[in-house]
Amino acid sequence: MRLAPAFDHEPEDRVEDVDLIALVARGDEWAYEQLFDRYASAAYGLAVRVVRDPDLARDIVQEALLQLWTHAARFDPAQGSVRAWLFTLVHRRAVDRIRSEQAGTDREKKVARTSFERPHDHVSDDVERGLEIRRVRAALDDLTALQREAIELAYFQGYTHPEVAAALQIPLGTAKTRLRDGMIRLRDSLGVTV
Amino acid sequence: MTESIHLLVGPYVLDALDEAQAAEFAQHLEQCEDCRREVLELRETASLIGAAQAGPDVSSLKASVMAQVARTPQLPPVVRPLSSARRFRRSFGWIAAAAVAVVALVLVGDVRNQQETITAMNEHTAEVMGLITADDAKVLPLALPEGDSTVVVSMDRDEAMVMAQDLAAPNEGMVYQTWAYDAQGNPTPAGTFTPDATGHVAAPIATELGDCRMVSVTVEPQGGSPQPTSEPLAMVELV
Repeated sequence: MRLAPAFDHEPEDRVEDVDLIALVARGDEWAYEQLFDRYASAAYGLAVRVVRDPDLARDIVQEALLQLWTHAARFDPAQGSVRAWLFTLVHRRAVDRIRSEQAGTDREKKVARTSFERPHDHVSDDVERGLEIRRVRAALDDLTALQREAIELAYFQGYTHPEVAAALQIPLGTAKTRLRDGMIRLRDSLGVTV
Repeated sequence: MTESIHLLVGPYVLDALDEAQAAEFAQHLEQCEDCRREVLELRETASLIGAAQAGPDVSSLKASVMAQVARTPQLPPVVRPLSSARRFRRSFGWIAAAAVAVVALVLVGDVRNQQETITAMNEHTAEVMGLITADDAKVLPLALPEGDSTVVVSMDRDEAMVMAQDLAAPNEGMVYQTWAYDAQGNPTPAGTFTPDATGHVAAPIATELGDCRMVSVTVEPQGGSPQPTSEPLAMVELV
């Protein structure tokens, strides 16, 4: 079903996520497809990076993406962007899976084997997205080593903050602080406002 | 807000709290606007890191997700419950105005016995206030052709009311009538009403809500009809 013929006349204009999700809420599959094309690949990439298992990652991403469809009418822009909603869903599901399903030793082995591998990006020819990726990497590089390592362990390995503290051999309070001030520094260098 | 709990914003947005800590922090968020704001900002930030991940080709995933989308129904929007009088006044102040205006009409229009009037007024006020401040009260848009109109419903109290402002009076000799529909779509008469001189309405829907799936409003001759005799002006689903 396609509800927004108005956009057909402006193929060059990027329709904002928030307008797309409003269309999705009314059952518009075209709008859903736009959101899929924007975020599904990166969401899959994130899930693979966290759970390490492409099949499990695919299940996680598929569930989260489907929620974007079923729950579109319940999306509240006051609670953040569509992107934040989707990636929060994906990340939380990924972290829940590894915490509940993986035995500690098994997980450590997998982490040791595949840590910091960067999959080939099939959309790197998309200039805008390429710039965005570079911008985020530059912001990560701009953190202190401790901030960056703490954030990467939490976000990409799904470590809890006590696990982050243990892995980096720092006090728990320091781990909390680095996770927060690192994220604040990222927020500022990426110019995030709400 | 203590400094130490505020520090948990970082671990919280990165899903680096265990379940109990995350629940505790979520509770803290209810009371701490600073933390709520920071959570929103840092969640956006985290999602930028996520969205910057290089990903594999997703064309086969896309085919299966689009197929799933095509056969999966969507949930309706959440209608925010009015859980407190404070919130109610902020968002739906006009409903209070409607209730009070109708009460005032009772007071001036029915002065045979002052005590009776005051009792009636108190009962009406208690009924309206009880309903609109019920924990599970929902305000559903009714969309009568003029003014603002809603159905306020509380399943816990088994009560519902039509509330409206700026509603035009029906033609001479006519009244508005509400209808309650069961799951099979059969209408039961659920009371008549006319707006007061200022266009306000606070009319109870006289029916058991247990079986009621939908409410509609029609215009009927004075006294009401046993079955609708005109097309509904508006309909609203209760469930």
